[in-house]
Amino acid sequence: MRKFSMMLINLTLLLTMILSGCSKATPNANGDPTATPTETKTPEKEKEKLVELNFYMMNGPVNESDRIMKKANEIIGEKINAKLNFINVDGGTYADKMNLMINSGDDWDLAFTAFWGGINFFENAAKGAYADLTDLLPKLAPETYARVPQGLWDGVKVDGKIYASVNYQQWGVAKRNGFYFREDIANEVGFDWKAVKGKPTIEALQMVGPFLGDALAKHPDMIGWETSSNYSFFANEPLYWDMEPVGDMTTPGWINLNTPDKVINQFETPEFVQYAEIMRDWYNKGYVRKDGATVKDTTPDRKAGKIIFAAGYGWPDSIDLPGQEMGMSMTEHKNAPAVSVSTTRTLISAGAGSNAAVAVNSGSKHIEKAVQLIELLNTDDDLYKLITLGEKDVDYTFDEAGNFTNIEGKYNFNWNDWQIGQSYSPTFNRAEYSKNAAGEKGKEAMSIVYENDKTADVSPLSGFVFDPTPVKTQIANVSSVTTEMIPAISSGSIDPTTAVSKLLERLKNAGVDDIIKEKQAQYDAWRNK
Amino acid sequence: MKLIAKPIYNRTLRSARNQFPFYLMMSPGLLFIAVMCYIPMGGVLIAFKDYKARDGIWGSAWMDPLFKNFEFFFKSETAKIVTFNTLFYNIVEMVTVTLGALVLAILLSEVKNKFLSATYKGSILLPVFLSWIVVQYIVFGMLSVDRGIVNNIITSNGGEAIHWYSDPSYWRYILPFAYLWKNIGYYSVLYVAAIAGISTDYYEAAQLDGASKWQQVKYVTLPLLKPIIIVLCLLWVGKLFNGGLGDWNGFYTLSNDSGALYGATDVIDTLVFRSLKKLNDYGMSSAIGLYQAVVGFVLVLISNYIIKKTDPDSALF
Amino acid sequence: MVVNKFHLSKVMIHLIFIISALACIVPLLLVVSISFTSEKSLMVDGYHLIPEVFDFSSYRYVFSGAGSITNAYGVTIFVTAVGTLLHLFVTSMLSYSLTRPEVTFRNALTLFVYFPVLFNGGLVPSYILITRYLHLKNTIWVLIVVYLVSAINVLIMKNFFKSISNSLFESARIDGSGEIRTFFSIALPLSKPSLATIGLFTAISYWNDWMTTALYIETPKLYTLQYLLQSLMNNIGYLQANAAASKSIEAAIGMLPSEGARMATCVLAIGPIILLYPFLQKYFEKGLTIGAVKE
Repeated sequence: MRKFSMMLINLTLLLTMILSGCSKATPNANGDPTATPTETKTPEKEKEKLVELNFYMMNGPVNESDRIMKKANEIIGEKINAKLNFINVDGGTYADKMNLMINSGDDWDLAFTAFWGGINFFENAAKGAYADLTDLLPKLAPETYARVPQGLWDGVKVDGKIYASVNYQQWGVAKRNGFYFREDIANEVGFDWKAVKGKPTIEALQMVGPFLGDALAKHPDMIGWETSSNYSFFANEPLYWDMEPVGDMTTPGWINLNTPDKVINQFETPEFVQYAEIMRDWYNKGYVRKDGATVKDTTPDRKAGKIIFAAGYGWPDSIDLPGQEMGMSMTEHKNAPAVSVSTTRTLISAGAGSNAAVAVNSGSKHIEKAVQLIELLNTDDDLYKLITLGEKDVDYTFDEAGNFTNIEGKYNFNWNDWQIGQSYSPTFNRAEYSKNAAGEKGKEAMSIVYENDKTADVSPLSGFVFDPTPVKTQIANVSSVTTEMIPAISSGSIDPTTAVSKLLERLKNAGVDDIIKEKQAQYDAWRNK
Repeated sequence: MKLIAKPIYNRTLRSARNQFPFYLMMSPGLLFIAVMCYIPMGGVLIAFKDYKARDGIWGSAWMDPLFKNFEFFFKSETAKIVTFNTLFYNIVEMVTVTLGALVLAILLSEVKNKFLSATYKGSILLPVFLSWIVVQYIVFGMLSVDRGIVNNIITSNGGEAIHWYSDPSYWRYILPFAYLWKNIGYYSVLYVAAIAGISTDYYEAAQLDGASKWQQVKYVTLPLLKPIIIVLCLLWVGKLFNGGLGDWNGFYTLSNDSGALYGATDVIDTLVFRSLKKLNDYGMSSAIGLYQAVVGFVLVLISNYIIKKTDPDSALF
Repeated sequence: MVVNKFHLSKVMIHLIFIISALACIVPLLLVVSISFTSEKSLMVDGYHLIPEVFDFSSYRYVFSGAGSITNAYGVTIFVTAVGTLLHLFVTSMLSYSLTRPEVTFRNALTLFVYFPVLFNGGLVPSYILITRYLHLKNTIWVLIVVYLVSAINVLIMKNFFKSISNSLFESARIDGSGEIRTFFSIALPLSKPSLATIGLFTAISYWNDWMTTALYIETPKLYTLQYLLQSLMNNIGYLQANAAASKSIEAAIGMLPSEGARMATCVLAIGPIILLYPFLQKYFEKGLTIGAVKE
C-alpha cells in the first residue's frame, strides 16, 4: 500500500516535470492542426498565403453567420489578405475560458478584453499574455490611434506600454452620472426635478425623498428606488461619491478625487454612513423593496415599469438637450417616460479605456496582421456595419415611422458591436440611426458627448495597475465579508448605527488595513516613478 | 530452497497467464484513468506555487511560506461555521437520501403492476434530469416574495407574505429537502436494480419459513443490499468536506447567493468560490481543493479499514 | 382481517408513491407553464401552474436565436449514444475484472481507480493535456472522451458483478469458455438491470454536459444542444448584468423574454432524454436467473 502510493507520487512528479518541461520549451505551441478548421477557401490563390485570424469574443449563438462572414471575409481578404474567424463564447464562460487559454498557453490571435467580469485585463497584461502594441498601433493602425483621446490610451497601459486597442464608443467614454425620474409622475405630484442638477449625491437623495413619499402615496404598487443584492449604489458607483477605486472596485481602497493622494477605506467615509442612513429611512418608509438585500434580478421590476427614480448615466440630460424621448431602464418612452439630470463631474475613469478593448495574443504568429485587422474593423464602416448589423432589408429594415428594426430570426450580432471595435465615427456612419426626429436627436446627443470627452477630467489613477499578490489572503477574506454585509446595508435592511461599525470591525479582522497600506505603497511608488 | 522455488515460479507463471485476459479487459479503462486523471494530477502542485502561466506548473516559484495559499481559509472568521454547515448538511443528506431511497426502492418492489411501477419510477427520476439552475427557478417560482406561488396562496388567504430569502432558519430545511428531492430518484433506481439482482429463491425460502413481508425485508433484502449501501456511503464519506457531497452548486444557486442566508447556507465550497471570484487565483482554489481531498481521503481510509475488519467483503479496497 | 390489513398496506404504498410522484411532477409542470406564459404576465401576475396569458414567444425566441438547433440535437444524440455505449463497455470490463479473485492486484487497482475521485489537478493541466498533447480540441471525440470512465460507476458496477455467483463462471471455465467470452456471454447478460441503470445515468451526464463544449469546442457545427441553449440564456443574463458596458443593449434587453425563454430551453433540453426512460424501463425489471446469485 505504502509502496504503491510512493510509486504513484513518483509517477506524478515525473509526469509533471515532463509537462512543465514541454510547456517551457515551446511557450506557445501553436502547431495544433485541429484548431482551425478551414471551411471556405477563397478561390484565387494569392502570392502571399492567406492569414487566418481567430477572434475570441463574448457572444451568444449568431444566426446565419456563415452568410455574413463569407461576405465580410471577401472584403477582409481583398484589403489585408486575411480571413477573420469569430469564436463566440457565451458571457457566462468567456472569462473562465480566456483565462484558461491564457494560463495554458493556448493559441488565439485576437480577443475582447476588459477590466471587469473576471476578464482581468490588467493582470493578464502584466503577466505578458497580451502583445505590446505601443509601436504597432501608430504604425499599422494610425486612424484608430488618432481617433481615440490620449487619456484612454493611458487607460490601457501597463508600465507605460499599450496592451490593447480601445473600442471607443459612440456614447462616449467620459462618464457623467445622474438620475432618471418618471416624467409623468414628477409632473403629477409637482416635483421640480430640474433643481437636482449638479447637487452632491447625498443632497440629491435628500431632495428626492419627499417626492418618493408623495409619488408612492398615489401609486402604491410602484417602487421608489431600486435596491438589489448584487448592486450597491455606494460600493459599485464611486463617481457619485466623487471617488475613484484604486485597482478593483469592490475591494476597499478608493481615493477621494478632491484629495487624490491618500488611499482610503470607502466604507469609513461619512458619505457611506449618510447613504446607509438614507436607505434605512427609505426602507422604513417603504420607498424601496423590503427584500432588496436578497433579490438578485430586478429586471422584472424594470420591465414592468415599476421604478419611479433611478440612477443612470444618460447624458446630455433633459436640461442640456431637451426633447430626447427617453424611457426608464428597459422600458420604452411610451410606457414609462423619463427625464434625466446629471449631477456628477465628467470623468474619464481609470477603467474607461479598458472598459471594452481588443487585445492581441503575445504568442500569436500574426501580430502585425491582427493589428491591421483592428484598423480595418475600425475604419471600414461598411464592413463594420455588415458584421454588427447584417445586410439591409435582409436582416434589418426601417419601419414606416423610420425606426430601425431587426428582422426576427435573421442575422443578429446580439448587440455586441462594442466588443469588436469603435462604434464612434465623426460622420455617424458606423451605426444605423432611425430615419426620423429621434434618430437626429440621437446624433446630436452623440456629438455633445464626444465634445465632452475631450475636456473631461482624467482620473489621477489612469495607467496605475494594482498587483494584489502580496495581500491575496486579505482580499479573499475581505470580499467574503463585503459580499455578505454590503447588500444588507445598501438596501436599508439593517440598522446602520450598529451594522456599519460591525462591518468595519469585521473588515479589520479580515485584514482590510493591510490592503489599504499595500494599495497606498504601490500607488506612491508608481507616482514617484 | 530449490525444490520450493520451482512450483512458485510455475504458479506465478500460470497465474499470470490466467490473469492476462482480465488485464486485457481492464486496459482501456486503466489507460484512460492513467492518462486523463493521473497525468494532470501534477496540477496539485499549483496549491504550493505562485502559479504563472509562462513558467509552467513546475517552473513557477514555490510559495513562501509553502502553505500561504491555504492561509486565507483558515484565517477566515467564518471557517468554523462553514465547516460545521458542510458536515451538518452532508450527514443529513447522506442519511435522508439513503434511507429515503431504500424505502422507496423496497416499496417499489412491492408494486406488482408493471405500468404503475414504471410510472412511479419514471416520475421520481424526473428531478435527476434537472440542473440546479432550473431547480433554483422552480424554488424561486414558489418562494419569490412578490410573485411566488406560496406567498400568493398565503396572501390571498389574508396572511402575511413570508420573506423566504431573508430568514436563514427556513433554509436548514429547504436545502436538505431540495437535495433529497433531486437525488432520491437516482439512488432508488440504483437500489431497485440491486434488488432486481436478488434471486427469488431467497424470498420463496423465506415464505416457506413463514416470514412476513417485513421479515423478508429485514432478513433477505437488507443484508443482500448491504455491500452496495456501504459502497455508496463510502463514496460519500470521501466527499464529506465538499459541500453537497461534491455537488455544491445547489447551495450557491438555490439560496440566490443571498448574504442574509449565509449563516445557514454557506459551505466550504461556496465560501471559497465567493472569496476567490474576484482574484481568479488558481493556487488558492487548488489549495482548498487539496485540503478537502486529503481530509476526505483520510476519512475513507479509516472507514474502509473499519469495514475491512468487520465485513471484508464490503470494503472498497 | 388479515386480508383487510394486506389491502390497507397496499393502499398505503400507492398513496406514498402518488404523493412522491406528484412532488416530482408538479414542479416540472410549473416549468412548462412558465415557458408558455407571456413575459408581461410573469412580471405582473407572478407564477402560476396554469398560464394566465398563453403565449409562444419564448419558444419563438429560442428557435430564432439558436439557428442551428437541429444540428445541435444531432451532435448531442450522437455523443450521448456513442459515449454511453463506450462508457458501458469500458466500465463494465474494468469493474468486472476488478471483482475477479484471480486478479492479484485488484485492491491496489481499485484504489488507483478511486484516488482521482478525490484528487485532481484542476482545469489547467487537463486543458493543456487535451488541447496540446491529445489534440482533441474542436473534435467530437473530446465530448465523448471526458466521461469515458467514471470511477464512481466502476465502483457501483463492481458491486453488481460481485453479487453474481462465482459458480456460474467456474462452470463456464470447465466448459472451456475463455475469460473474455465468459464475460460477454454470462456476466453481461446477467447484469442488464445494472447496465441499464448506469447507462441511463451516463446518458444523462452526456446529455446535460455543456461545460466541455464551452471549453473545447469552437466550431458552431459541433455545438451540443445544452451548450447552445445555455449560451443563449447566458448571453441574456450576462447582457443584463453588464448592461452598463454597452448602452445600446439596455433598451433591447427590455424586450427579451428571459424567464420564459429559460424555461422553454429547459423543456427543449430535457424533453428528448426523458423519452429514453420508457425505452430502458424493460431492462430494469428483468432480474437474474434462478441460482445466479451468490449463495
